Amino acid sequence: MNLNVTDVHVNGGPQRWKIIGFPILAILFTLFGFFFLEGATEALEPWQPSDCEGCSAETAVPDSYRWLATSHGGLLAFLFGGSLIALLRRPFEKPMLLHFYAAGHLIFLAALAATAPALALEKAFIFVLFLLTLTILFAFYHNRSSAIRLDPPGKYSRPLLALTAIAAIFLLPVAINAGIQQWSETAGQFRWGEHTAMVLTLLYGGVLTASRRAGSSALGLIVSLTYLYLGASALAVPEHPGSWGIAGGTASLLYGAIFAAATIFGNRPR
Amino acid sequence: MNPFLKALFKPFLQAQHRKSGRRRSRRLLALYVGIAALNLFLVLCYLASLPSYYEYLHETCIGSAQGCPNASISVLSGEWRDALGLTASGAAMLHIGIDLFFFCCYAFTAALILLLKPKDILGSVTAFTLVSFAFGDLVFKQWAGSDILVPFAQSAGILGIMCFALWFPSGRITHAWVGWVAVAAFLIRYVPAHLPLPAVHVDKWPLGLSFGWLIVFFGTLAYSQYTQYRDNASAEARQAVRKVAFGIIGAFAALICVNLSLLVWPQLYKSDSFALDLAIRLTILPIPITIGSALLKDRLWNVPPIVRRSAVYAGLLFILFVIYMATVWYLALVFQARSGFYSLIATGLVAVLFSPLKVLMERLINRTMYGKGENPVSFLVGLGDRLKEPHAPEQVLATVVTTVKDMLHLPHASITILVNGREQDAAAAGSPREPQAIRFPLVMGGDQLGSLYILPRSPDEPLRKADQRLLQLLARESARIVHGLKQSLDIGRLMKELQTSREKLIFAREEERRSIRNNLHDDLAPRLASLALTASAAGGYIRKNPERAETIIAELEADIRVTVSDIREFVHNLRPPALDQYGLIEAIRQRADRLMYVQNAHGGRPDKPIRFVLLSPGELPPLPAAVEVAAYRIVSEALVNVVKHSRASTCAVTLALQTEDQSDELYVEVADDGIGLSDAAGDWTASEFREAGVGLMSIRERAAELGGRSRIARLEGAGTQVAAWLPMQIHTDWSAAE
Repeated sequence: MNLNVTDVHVNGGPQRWKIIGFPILAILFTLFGFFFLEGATEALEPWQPSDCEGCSAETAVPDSYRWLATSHGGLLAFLFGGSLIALLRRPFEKPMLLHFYAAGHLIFLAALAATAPALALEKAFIFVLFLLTLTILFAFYHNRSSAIRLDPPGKYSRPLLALTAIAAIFLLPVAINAGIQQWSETAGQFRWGEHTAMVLTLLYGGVLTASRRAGSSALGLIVSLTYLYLGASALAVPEHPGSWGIAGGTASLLYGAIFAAATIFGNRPR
Repeated sequence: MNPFLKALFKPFLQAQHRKSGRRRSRRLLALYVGIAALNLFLVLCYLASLPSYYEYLHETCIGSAQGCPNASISVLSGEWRDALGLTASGAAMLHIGIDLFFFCCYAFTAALILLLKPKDILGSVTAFTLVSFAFGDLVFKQWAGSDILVPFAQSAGILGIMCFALWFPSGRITHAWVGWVAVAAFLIRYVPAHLPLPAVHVDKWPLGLSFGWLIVFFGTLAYSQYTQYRDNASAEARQAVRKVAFGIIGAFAALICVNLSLLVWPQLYKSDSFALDLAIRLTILPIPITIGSALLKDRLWNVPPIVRRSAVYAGLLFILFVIYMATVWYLALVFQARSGFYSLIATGLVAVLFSPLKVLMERLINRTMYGKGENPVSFLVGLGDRLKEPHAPEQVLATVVTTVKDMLHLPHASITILVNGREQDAAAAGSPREPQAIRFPLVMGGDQLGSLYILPRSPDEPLRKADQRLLQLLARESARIVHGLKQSLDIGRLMKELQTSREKLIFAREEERRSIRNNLHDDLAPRLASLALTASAAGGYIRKNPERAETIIAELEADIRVTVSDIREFVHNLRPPALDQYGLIEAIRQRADRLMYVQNAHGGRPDKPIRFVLLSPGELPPLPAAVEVAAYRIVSEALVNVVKHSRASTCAVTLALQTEDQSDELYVEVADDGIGLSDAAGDWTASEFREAGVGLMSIRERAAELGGRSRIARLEGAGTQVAAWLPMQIHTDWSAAE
């Protein structure tokens, strides 16, 4: 068979500085999210003693925001941090994870602008900070267009789509309620709006997992872990404002386990 | 009739009608009627209690601080009522609806059992058990004032459970002692309640005795089911036992889970026992459903469409109600506020979900009624399994149609075969075919072999797409089966014909031998003996009377010449020597010349001699001896007829090689321009007629013997044509084809 050489498109490999630079940046931004933005520390809030009148372990988070601190931890530590950690191994083969990371940030910024416009104007540096973060990450990413515009999915996983739809039925009212609560927030906090952003990002993660693109297994596990974490947090602080309560926490734990099972089962070699 | 069709038609042209004419036993009929009446009575009692129950709930229970001991489940708390936006009457209606739903689950299952198993003692007992159990469990508090009805229903419910556990699924008790123990336990507990002996009343029993009774009674019933499972070899019966066991065990497991969750998270129910009671009621539901399913396996397809649709809409109504309530409740829970907007959202959601849910419910009910949506592979495997069993070839089609009917739960399935362009029934199962039957053509290699007909389950319910696809697939398989069956029967027929032809050959050979033997023994041998005697006599006269001896020798010589001539004729009759000396064409020419000569010389019409024409290829290929002889004899016979009867001026003999149906044939024709067959026959004497008739018959037989065919006809205008087609390769069937 004669093969015309000009018909074959050969992608160039990533440059060396990208191969080295991207993982370093991913680690830095993960640590940045974990500690500078307090994603990891606030993720532990449900299990921290609070309002204990001067005890040494008392946190700075007001008691009424302890469940919402969970939401902050879930978004920054689990969803954003988890996707960057997953990108440390063969990052350029999984553009979907970077896409998810960027989409999560944009959802956060959109939620901020939509539910707390005054706060958004006041803290405009957050927009700059996040956009700068994304710009730097994309600058170091090889074949960045594939992370902006994802390849068309082969065939969506119906069980995962169904699971995501079920989650959406229950979580969209939660997200809307959190958005409404953010509107009436007077303490200059973006806790409720962040909860909205976290829920929407979580649902988007479910949809992307169902698309079965490269990296969907990792994203599916990240989403499952987030549900498990949120369920455990809800059981820890069932009565706090916004908490999903005992029933919601149990349901979230069950859902996380089922989602993980569906992800693993759906991607196992046959 | 074609043996293929004969074989097909013999055993099962009769459709397998349901045995509707079977006589019902009077006892069973009485039981059935009695139980149906009792069930109806209990249902009416329940319905009659609803208005007073509503009033009780509305006036006494809801919004009242006093207790509500006669409600079937704990009353909805005020907090929940507020969250759901229910008024007092709405809450009362909700309770009524919940109770009604549970009662209907039992009553509907019982009604289905009575409808579909009318002559079944186990079915009747189970139906009564379900209704009496539901009545005793759900509505007894409204009939608490009755001293007879409630105890009767409760006792009957337990008695029914006992009978079911003892008899299901075989319809008999496995061990007599199991039955005695169960009956004794039942009597010990329930009879004293009706005796004037308060000391032995069940309320006075110590806890240990009650616990022991529970173990003995239900342990015996469980053991009975175990033995039913162990002793019953039927896979279907075992599956039925498993199904019921799963339902009961599942219900108890769910009950334990509900209670465990209460222990682990007491705040889950927030001391509101409505949700707990509701959950407990729901956990028991699998029991009637699995019992009904186990009893009605393979009978649900017979459910009338209206019942199926009622089930669809009842289920749909329930689901939509649950969705509506859950939506309003969930939104109120999430937003922590009451709003009419939630009802609007819930209504919108219900409106959006109605259509897809209806489709889903229909699929679910159809699947429950007709069994799982058959996947083509499993269906064909099932068909293959049935065909694995030993069948006579002609029974295969009956197996196919029975399988189609059974697996798709259709009222009728049949296969027809095309014979000479007309469809003829080959096998049928179920009810007789009706005009609205759907036809699936059976095509193989571009040829239509017949059709598969099926009747939809009901006139107003067309086949599902999955069923249609399955039937198309099945029609292809059936076409292969019909094709194979036809080939198989053809082979069988040929084998039989081959056997017959062998018998004919042996018979003919033996006949020939007997004829030769007779000729040799009865004719030639006496002649030779006579010649020997004559020669001996001549020898005796040689010295005594030489003149006399010369005379005898002269007679002897004449006799020897006659004998030689007879032997030659005899040999000639066996096989004309001219065929071997000159070949077929020349032998026919010589035979014709001789006949013409004899005819023209003796008594014929010298003024109009018959002109003989022979049309043939220059040289014929080597022919089988039998074909040569047959052609020679046919031509000879026909020429004799021409010479004797036709008054023809010209006689043409044609020999030709033809190819027919991919096989070579020798075409032999003798045509004259004489007076024609029937006209000639009119002038014949009786002996001539007989002679000519024998000749014509001989022509036919000679052609048929070789598997060929012949035609004797009057020609247009004038003259007679005798034609024969003799196959160059002789077939084994030797069948006459004219």
